Amino acid sequence: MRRADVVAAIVVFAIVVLLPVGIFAYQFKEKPHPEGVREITVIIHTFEHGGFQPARIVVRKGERVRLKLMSYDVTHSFQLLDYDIDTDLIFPGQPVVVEFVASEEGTFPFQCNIKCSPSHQNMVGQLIVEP
Amino acid sequence: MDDEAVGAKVTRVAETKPVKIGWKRDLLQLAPFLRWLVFQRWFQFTLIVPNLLAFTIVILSGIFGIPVGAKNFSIIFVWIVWWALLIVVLVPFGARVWCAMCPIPAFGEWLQRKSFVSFVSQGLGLGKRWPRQLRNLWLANFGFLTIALFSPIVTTRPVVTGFLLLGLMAVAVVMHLVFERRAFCRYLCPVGGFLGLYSMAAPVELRRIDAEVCRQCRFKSCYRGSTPESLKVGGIGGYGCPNFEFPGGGMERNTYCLLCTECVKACPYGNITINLRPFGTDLLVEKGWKLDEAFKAFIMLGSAILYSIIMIGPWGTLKSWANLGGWGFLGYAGMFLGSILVLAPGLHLGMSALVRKIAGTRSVPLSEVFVNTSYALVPLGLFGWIAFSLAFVLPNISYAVSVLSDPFGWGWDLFGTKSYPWTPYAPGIVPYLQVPLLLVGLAWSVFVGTGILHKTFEEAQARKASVPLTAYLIGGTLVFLALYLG
Amino acid sequence: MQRNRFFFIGIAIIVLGAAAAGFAWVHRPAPTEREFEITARQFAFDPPRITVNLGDTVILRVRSEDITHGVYIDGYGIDVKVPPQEEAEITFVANRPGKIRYRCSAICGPLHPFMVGEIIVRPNIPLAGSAFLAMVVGVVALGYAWWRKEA
Repeated sequence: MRRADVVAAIVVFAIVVLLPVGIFAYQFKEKPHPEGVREITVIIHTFEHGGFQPARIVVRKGERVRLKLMSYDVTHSFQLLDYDIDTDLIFPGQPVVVEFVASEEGTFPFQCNIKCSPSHQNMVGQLIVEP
Repeated sequence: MDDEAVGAKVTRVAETKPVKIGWKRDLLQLAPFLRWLVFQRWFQFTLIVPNLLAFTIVILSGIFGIPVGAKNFSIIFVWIVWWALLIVVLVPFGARVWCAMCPIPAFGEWLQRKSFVSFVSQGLGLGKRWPRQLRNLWLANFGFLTIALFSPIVTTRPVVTGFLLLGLMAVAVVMHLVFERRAFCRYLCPVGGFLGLYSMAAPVELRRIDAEVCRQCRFKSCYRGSTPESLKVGGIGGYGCPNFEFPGGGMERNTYCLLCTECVKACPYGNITINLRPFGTDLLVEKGWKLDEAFKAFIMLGSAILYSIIMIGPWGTLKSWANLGGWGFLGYAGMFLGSILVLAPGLHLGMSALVRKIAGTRSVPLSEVFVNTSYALVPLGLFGWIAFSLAFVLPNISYAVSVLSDPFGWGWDLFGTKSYPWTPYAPGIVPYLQVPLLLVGLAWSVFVGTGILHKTFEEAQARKASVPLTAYLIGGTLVFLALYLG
Repeated sequence: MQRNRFFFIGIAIIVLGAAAAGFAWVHRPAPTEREFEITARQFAFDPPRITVNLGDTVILRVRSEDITHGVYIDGYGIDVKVPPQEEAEITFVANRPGKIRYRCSAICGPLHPFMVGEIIVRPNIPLAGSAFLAMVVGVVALGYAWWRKEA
């Protein structure tokens, strides 16, 4: 193999191996966040395609919780009335971030409040605040 | 002439000012830098690399990214950005230059050659010959029609786009290891077929310089590849044409030339170059007129019209059917395939019969009129495609700005442009861009059509025959106008 | 004399066309206010195409039958979101003849980019004009091709 081919092989290796590895590493590495903040990504599909993921969010009492709400198909919204949270429309590709302190213990329902499919009324989930 | 003498003659040719053959200009003499580039073994590799990079991101984002097409790199960069570049710039001005930089066959070809860059005479793979019965465009036509039929799915679902491209790449690798050369590109690639058809319209061509030199040449390295003997005479070492063409043997059309420039590197006499030339020259080359290419012309023109109805028209039922809407899909498929495979050729056959009747001769078979005149549809089809593409590219290409920052829809913001809003460009003006494009396509088609008739019939007959052909082409243009403005 | 005949036929067609266009223009209907009920659903508007006259004040009352959609009107700078169970009212003056496309502006599923509705503003001068131009271009191109073959 000549030198040009070695360089070429390195370039190709970088593109098809290092690049994907880098992308996944960047996405899934532990992100540092301020002390005590729980950051949770909630991916929202219509009910037919999985609804809220995760649909069961467990945090500890007193924690500061940051939910990153991302629609993966159509327009949704997010309501967690016990914590006074009621977002505007959540459009695909435009994540909405809500933040609150889990001050009350218990199980609290959340739902999508904009009709997003025929089974929209099933778009529910639970926030569980453990002691 | 012995080899040295032939070489000396070419050197002499090359030393004079740019060679002017008719309207042609030797681009490699006009642009010495390009000439230098073309003579580097790494030239094609560097063309492929950026596309391989984009391709890798397309496949990753298609398979692992957000399933919303508008927010996914794969859909936006394949079906909006790449497509717009291809149909508006690369094909009309650069012939099949995309094929030189396409990453789909890259791995197959690298494996087959056992080399990324340098010229190695011993390759890998079975090197079988492609079956004789399949040495035409029918498989590619079939492949294109299949993808075209499902394009409302393919162009809107990232995961389908991702797996489709990955699948094509896998097929290409297998093809390269089983068969010789780039059989995939020539006989199977669904894109290659129509690139070939429309590349005939482009103002560039790769051709031999001096036919006499090729006649005297005993190496035929442009087809067979460089050999130690040919390298003693000249050339920097190149593979034989990967697409089964023989530039030195009088290749007269762009249709199957991938512009990979291997033959330029292989030719011991520097007798192959790239020319600038008038648009559309190849459409009048009788030698290549064949039924498989004629059908490609119907498929392309037909699908441009059908997409204008289905995708950018206002009719929701059609869209639901096309979107795999239960049994309705069969209705849509029937309409799509029926229009392209029966209605369009049927209309064209009717027109051909009329042309033949008005020309008043029985000496030219109807089938010949049918095939020949189909090439008159190439300019109109190309401009119809450009006009149709503007109608979905301009309203949606702004997604590219936000997708660039967040290719996977994971909430990244690489360049700070993630929140760039959806902004249709030139809203309300698109029809006024489409009209001149279609009119240019029409005028050009009429020119090509009359030229074709003059090669098909005798002078007086051709003149009479050009009236119904022109009416037919005007009719086709009116269909587009009715869809875009009516 | 064939050439002269073609020439006169051409002139006659142009004059007649211009006269017809002028007549249509003079007798065009007076602008009025028009209201349309439009239903949006994945992936179309219903009715798919509405027709108004140049100068009309157009009121679109848009309701969604399923999920959140939007209405973006090409060339009029209007973009309204249409959540389900709410009616969006859009008012504009159709001050340009020809076809206006409007499209969904809230991503509503895979075929969202192709969710398009049409408003035809009559008289459709762009269509008639370009169709006429196409015939002229076709004929002139043919004439030019003939002339070049002769020369």
